Amino acid sequence: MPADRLDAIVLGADIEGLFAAVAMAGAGRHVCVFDNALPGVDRVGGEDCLVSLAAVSELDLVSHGLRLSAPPPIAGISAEQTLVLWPDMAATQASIATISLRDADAWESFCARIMRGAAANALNADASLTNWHLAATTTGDLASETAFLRATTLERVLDEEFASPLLKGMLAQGALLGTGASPRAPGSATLLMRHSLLSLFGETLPSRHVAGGIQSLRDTLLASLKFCNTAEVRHAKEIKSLQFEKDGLTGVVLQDGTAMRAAAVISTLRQDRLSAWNAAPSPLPAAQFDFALPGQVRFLVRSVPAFKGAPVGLATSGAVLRLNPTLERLMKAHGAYRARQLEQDFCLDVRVVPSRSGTGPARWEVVADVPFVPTSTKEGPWNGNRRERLVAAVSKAIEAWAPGFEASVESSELLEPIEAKTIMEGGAPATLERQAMLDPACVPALRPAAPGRVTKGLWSIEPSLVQGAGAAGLALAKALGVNGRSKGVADA
Amino acid sequence: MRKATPGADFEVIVLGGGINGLVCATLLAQAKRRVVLLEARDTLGGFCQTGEIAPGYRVSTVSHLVGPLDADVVKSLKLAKLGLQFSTRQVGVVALSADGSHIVLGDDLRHTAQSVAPHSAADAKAWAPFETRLKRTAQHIQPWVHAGLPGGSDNGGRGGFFGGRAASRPVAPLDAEMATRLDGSLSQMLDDEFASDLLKGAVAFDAVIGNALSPSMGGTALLAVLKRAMDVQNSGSLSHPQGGAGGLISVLAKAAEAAGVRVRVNAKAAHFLFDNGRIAGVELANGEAVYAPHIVSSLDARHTLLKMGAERDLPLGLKRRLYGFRNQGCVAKVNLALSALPSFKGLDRKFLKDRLLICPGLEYLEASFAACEQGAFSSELALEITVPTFHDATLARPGHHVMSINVMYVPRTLASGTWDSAKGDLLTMVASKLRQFAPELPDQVEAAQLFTPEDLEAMGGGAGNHWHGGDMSMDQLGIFRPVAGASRSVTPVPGLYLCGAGTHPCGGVTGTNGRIAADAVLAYLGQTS
Repeated sequence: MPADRLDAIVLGADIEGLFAAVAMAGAGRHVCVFDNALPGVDRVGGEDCLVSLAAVSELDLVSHGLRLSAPPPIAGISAEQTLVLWPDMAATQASIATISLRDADAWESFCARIMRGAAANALNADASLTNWHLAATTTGDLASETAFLRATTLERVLDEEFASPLLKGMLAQGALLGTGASPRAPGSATLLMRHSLLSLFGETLPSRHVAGGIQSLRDTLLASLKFCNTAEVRHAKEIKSLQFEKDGLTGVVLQDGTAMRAAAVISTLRQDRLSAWNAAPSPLPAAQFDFALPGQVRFLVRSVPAFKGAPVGLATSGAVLRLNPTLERLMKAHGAYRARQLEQDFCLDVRVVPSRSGTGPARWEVVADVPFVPTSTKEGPWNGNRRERLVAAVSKAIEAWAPGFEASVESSELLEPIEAKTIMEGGAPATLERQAMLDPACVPALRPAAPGRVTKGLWSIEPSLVQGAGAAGLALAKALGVNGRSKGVADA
Repeated sequence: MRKATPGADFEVIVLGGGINGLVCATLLAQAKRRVVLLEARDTLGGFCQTGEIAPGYRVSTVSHLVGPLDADVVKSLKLAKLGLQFSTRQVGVVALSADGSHIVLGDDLRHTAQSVAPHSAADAKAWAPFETRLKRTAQHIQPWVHAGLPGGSDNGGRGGFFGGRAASRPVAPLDAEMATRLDGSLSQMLDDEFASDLLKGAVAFDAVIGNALSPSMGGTALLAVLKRAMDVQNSGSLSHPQGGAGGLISVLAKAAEAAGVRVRVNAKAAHFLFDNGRIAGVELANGEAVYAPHIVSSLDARHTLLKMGAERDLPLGLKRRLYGFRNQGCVAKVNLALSALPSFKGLDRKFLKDRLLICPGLEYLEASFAACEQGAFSSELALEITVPTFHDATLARPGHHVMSINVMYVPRTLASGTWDSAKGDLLTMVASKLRQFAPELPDQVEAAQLFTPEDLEAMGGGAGNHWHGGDMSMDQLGIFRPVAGASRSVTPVPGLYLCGAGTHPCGGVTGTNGRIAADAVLAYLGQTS
């Protein structure tokens, strides 16, 4: 590295950290990324990944090979009915009309209502509801409608709008996935405005899906970093300890004893990893956030399972299959999650994707996302017997909707929810949209991404449910003085 | 539908003889209106009743504490003159600890700090500033709570002139930090302030009690302030009327009679009668018609607006929103007849006048809520215990006592099985919980009575089973209470008003809802007559 003092060190090559690194390196700043290669953080985002359009254009990622794709259709399957929500209003209405004409009629105004709410929320995310109440003199206007949407529960809004339990369950599961919130928690209605759902409701979106998912986005960012001669990627194992001076973090010390100093250290790592590096008593702040990654089970299968009621070809088209979602089942699953029990009656999001290993007869993977899996059960953490029981229960739940599925499974892998602590500041839960807070009733706030300075010299990245991947990393780069023109890095 | 005849017997019909119905009817009659009050059951009081557990043991059947009573109501209805007596005026809170180091939460901040100190020295120091800050905030929002909602133009444009008796203007906004706090959860607020689980558990339980809300839900921090705002206004805290809740009701009944209210029991209103789209009266369950151009209902808003024939005049959006109003209760009531004065480990006898809370922490409360969410009850039950006979000798034979317990969170409907078969389990669980704190208590029990939320629903009739008439969350408070377009006591149905616990500001035995509704009706009558 040419500079004896870097502009930034990124600990843990999480997507947002990479975005910050690319943004800074692209502006000529000296950046070193320490890829953590620890299990957990990178796998979240799974098959589905939305990227901020602003970030894509600002960093010119398309010319580095990033491909955007249309949002996947979402298919809900219940015992009697199948419903597909397309990213196209007319197509969705046609599908809803097959199960409820009333709901098909209501769909358009519902979409408009949510889009209006999202637009108002973008301007007003921090306005206090308490103060709104103290000043409110009238209802029936946009302000009161927005306040109501922010205050109320998911269940109430869906019950107001629709009759079909399947439609309500599908929307609720999509809104709640990975948040840990209950559909009956005040404020949970705002989750309908998270950006990953908006493609169902309207055209103008701040984010787009990435073809190939999070892995492909990560590859593009790393490739883009290689083009910058002021950036370097190393392995986190090379770090021996953090380096403090007076009250601030000034860099890291490598295993060979050399020190790397930087104006800013950006961490996307879990608190326990940071603490492990913290050799001397220091002002490293206590964990501010507990978070949990949702459970995911991946099955390697020989043949594409035939889901009851799902049109042929839908499963392999990238669609999300939501198996028998209803508000009642979500409520029950949430209760079990809160009580840290292993719920047997799973609400599942299933996707069929080409296998990553790509050899042998098993060419497909069935990926099941399980909302509301506690990070540890009352009996103990996820290991041995309990892991097997969880995988077996998920497998059984899929078999019930796709007979013959279990027979074609070659192997399975459980990515259990991981209990972790981060140093991120309050507000949004964690590094990616699908990470959930441990606090089960807490509804994550819908705020734009905001950079957070944790302590002197140490920055965290707080992501957002209303913006795609990249917005948070870019916001942090901006906070560090990179806006394409300015030269000096603001000293943290 | 029967047509109303002109020349109605009354000007106003009040539905429901609970505290808010009685207060509203009396205030209207005092303003020289001809008022009839219709109560479906054979006794007045609704959830405010004094009944027998067993011969010789009387207790407040459901609501066991008052309060605090609306100061304006006490004054206007001259309740003191009519014989309202309290056996104790200052009911404090004691957070019971299994090891005997209880925390006393009373008006005396120093005393509280002393009892907190063994749990956490830092908490002891933090208590007074915390409580003072909440009280100051309560004082600030008190006009909003007390005077009725500030004027506006919903309710079909007729709402503008319905101010409360105090000038109701919007309250100045709270400072940003406090406003953000109150938007958030109780757990967050308490975790930021305190370390002691017992202290946090007690403060949280005391704030959310009666609501199907867990303290980790957004907006619950506001409940702690709302509660204090009621105290501030009525310059007191919870109190116990002589003779139990029924004692209060008999005084209110006297006040109603003195004001000239015609009170009818066993008069269940079945549905409304209309004349050209205007309210003209009600038809009773026995087919009799009672005529009046104005009806104030203290029943549940959903029941009133959707189940009694008024729904055809309502906008579709309002109807749908009303269906979503959450008013499912989650409190069971246990009444025990005791052969002796109970004794709790390490608790000075004098604290038996207070409310004894069993809720060791936030986690405990969350676990209890989680079970309720799944349609079950867990052994982690939060209890609010009072011993009314400690200060009220009229309720039991000398030397004998009664204990009145609210149990939370208990589901209205069980996921498996029925309440008939599960009642015994719940009683056993309550008894074993009590044994941890008062080892001899279960052996002193002569008779026990349990009312599940299901029982309370049957008892409440059209009033529902929720303590506060509906959850006090941000989407069900103020101008959204019970529903946008029917707040400020006025509904879109001409001549129909609401005065139950599900209206602004909140439930509880205060009479404030009834007073605010009476103001609204009088304002309307003043405009038209």
